[in-house]
Amino acid sequence: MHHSLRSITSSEAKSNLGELLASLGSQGAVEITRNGKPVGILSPPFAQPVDAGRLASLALAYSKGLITWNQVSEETGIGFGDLLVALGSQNLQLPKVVAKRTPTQDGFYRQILDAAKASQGLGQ
Amino acid sequence: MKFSLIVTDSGPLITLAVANALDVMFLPGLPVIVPDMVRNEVIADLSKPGAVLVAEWMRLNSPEKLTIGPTEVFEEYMLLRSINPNTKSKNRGEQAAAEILSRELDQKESGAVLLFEDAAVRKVTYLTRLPDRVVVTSTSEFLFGLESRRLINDAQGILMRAVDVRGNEVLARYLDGSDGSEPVQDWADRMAPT
Repeated sequence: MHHSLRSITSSEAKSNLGELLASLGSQGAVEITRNGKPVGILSPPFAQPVDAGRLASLALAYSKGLITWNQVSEETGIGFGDLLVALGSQNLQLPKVVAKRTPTQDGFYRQILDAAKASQGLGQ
Repeated sequence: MKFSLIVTDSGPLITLAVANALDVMFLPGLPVIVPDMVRNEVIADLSKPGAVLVAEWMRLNSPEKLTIGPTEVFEEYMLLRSINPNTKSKNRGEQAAAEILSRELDQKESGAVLLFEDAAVRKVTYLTRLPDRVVVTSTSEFLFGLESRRLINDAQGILMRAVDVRGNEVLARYLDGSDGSEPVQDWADRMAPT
């Protein structure tokens, strides 16, 4: 996706450097001009690439249900879709974890599924 | 008892989107609530696999079948982001879900199903203190539950499709760059933090 850059003269940049730096995160990079011509771009730091070996290990641990998505996200900053790609690229499966419930909670869950089945039947 | 289905993180949404199965969320016939914080996590980077599909699904089904639940957690996050753009969303999806849950439970005769990504159902601490009218489930358990009532045919097939980097068009397009992004040889190169 292409975003047009903000533009500022070098003398404006010099006098407002603090504000300019603070604005990079929310407004993105800014082009600096001198005598009407672009001479440089001030931009936020590039995101660090995720180490492939580390991500492979995290995907394996995730696949086994040993760590949560939040833990992966916190360490790597990737999206959940990226984790799916990491799993698939190593022929790993999504974890399958059954939640612990009290007998009453279990009863409610069964009722919900039974009601869904019944209403589906009525709709057919 | 009137139940709603609260989606507690982006995991179930992205999994089902990539597997082209988001509508299974509506099969129990419960109102679906996506906390605003969770929606934000999903749509923060629309170039990621499944993100556009979830955004479009939410737009199409809101407010009839799905509500985006407003939370103070999200408001606070946005405020912090305006001060420091590098503020992380760390655990805020779950906190937002907890805030919505508490609001739902304030109503009489109300309960909730909390849908988590699988690994989280073992780790989230507040799950051990939930009242009986709150039912926790994971993406896979939810799918197998629907399959057990013959509401869907193949739960395992959906879970496999979500990680099928060769056969699944959404993932294949993402990897080869035909979704408009640059193609890459090494899948790990694409995993830049959002």
